[in-house]
Amino acid sequence: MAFAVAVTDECVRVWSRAAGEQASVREDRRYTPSLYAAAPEDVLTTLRERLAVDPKVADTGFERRFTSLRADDRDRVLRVDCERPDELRTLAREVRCVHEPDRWAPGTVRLYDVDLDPTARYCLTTGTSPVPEADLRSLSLSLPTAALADGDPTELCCDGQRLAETRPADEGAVLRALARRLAARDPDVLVLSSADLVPLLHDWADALGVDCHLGREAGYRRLAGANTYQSYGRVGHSPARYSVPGRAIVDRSNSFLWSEAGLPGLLDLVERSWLPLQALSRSSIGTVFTAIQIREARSRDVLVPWRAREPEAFKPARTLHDADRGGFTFEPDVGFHEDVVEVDFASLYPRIMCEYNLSPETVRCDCHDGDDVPGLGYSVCEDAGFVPSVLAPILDDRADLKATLAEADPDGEAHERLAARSDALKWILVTCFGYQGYRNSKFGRIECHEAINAYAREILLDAKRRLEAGGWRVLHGIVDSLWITPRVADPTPVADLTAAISEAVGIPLEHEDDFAWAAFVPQQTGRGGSLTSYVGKVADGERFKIRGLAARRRSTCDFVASAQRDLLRSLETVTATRRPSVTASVASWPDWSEAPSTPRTS
Amino acid sequence: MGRTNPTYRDFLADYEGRWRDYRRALRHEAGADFERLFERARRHADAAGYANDPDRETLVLVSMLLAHETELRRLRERVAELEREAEGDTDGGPR
Repeated sequence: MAFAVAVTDECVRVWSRAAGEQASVREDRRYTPSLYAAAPEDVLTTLRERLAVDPKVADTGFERRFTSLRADDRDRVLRVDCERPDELRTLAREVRCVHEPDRWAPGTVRLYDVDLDPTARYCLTTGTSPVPEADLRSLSLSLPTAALADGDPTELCCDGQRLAETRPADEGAVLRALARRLAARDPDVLVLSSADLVPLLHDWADALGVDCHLGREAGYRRLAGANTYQSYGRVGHSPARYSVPGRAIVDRSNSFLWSEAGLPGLLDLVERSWLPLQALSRSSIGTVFTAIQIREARSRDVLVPWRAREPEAFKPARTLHDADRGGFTFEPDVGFHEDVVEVDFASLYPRIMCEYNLSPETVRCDCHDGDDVPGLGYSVCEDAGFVPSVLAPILDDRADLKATLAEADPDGEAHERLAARSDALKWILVTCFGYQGYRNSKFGRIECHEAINAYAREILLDAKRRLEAGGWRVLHGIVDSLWITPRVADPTPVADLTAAISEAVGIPLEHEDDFAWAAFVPQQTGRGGSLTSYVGKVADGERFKIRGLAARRRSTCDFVASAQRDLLRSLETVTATRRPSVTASVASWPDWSEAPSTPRTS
Repeated sequence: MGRTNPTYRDFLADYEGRWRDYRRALRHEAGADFERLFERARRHADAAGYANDPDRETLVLVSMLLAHETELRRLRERVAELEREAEGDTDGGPR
């Protein structure tokens, strides 16, 4: 039961700690990670001879493994053990760029198990659980950004409290105070405002000759340098990554999951993905979801492809035309509506995958020839699907967490912990569908993506039919949500209808919100309704639910956002008096002439 | 979505653009009527998108006709209402 795993070229060091005991380290010097190659028999034999003389290779051998989720039989594959973990990728690149082009056509050799996280790979291969046994002790260190940029550690805070007692402070005193805190708490997890604290503090300690190190032993390692990247038109910065012996580092500046789910959420995902805590904390949701899938694939003896190779199956143009569609979106009834109810299908897409067994290997399988997917004529295999078996426990656990949450004391510590875990799972569920259509996804397939959308369209239209029959009018609907208002004087109660629809579809339809009024707005060009912009005033309370309007967008400055919110509040008077009146004035809005407007962050 | 063909809503916007010259030659009053035609086609873009017939121009025309039918129903109801009121006035009022 480890909480920190460090893979270096010399050895793997696994740190663990039982409750009430000191942390201990175990060294594994015999570990050699393996990659796999699949190709025709004669190619593998030649490749083996070539690799056997490579000093990077420790050993080679033949094994029988599944090379895809869809495979009925295991293939004979070449296992290549790598002497040093760091050289595994180099070896893979050499096979692809040197050995293959030298003798064979491109794509002859397919490589597997190449780009796994080194620490997770160790855990999976050796059966070393990265789930901590004892409750972890954590210590948080933070330094203001300006001080960090100046390389000045004197403002260092420990658990939110400034370490130095004097101002101006002395670097040596701060480091000695830090060393005392570290010794007293002996934390397993260091939560840092930025990973750059690691070199900064160690360099100062070295320069001043103070015995202070962040790890349980002296020293630190740089795992990766900082870099700049572009994604969806935005330039981002990925900070350098460091590790220290015996402690997991969580870099708050580089951890989406920490900010969304906290330590309880992270630990929940460690258990599912077997990514050790430090690797998990800096992972994107997609990486975590992929890691959970990799773990399931390993349990099925399926290798993980390096480059996803699931080309789209041939299909008639008409099928392509039918299949290449998203979820169903109604045209909104543009305007102001009173007495509006919102109903939502909870986790619709992941539940569709589970309910209808949709997975890359079950959709258009070779063994069935049915007409299962509505409108597309794709068959779906009856064997338990790969994606559903990954998602079902997550859906069940989240439903349980939400049920427990509903009964927990909202101010208690337990509530916070449960909410964090529930949020962590929510993000996995949000991601799982998109990964079916993502071309670099390890286990995605476009036909699966299409099938999920086909079911989603049917489900929403089925719900519409039942709601209309129950005396409601559909004002708007987007993929998994519907906004309805009574069509007749005495419609069937929403609870009865949602229960009936949930029962019929097999996916819970939840009564999300009651709005005193809701407005669906036109597009800015004035032509037709905007499909995703609306505002609703929640019936009991002061809360507005705003989607897509300027006030909600990150690119809107504070002045415009607060002006728009004021205007929305003024609509209240309109509903009360039935006539427009002056209810907001520029004088009451923030003084924008002094403070420069800044992009909103929330 | 939209990998092979544009979505129906994108098609509709594009299709309206193709009528630009026609629109330009119309007189003022007819111009506004013309724009209303496409506004009404858009009102049923959800159904047309779901029907997904490869003959999208027919989908546009049927959407326009449907909106036309809705407007006729509304007017018929209004006429009936006014007639009832008028009859009421005639029955109850002095001759």
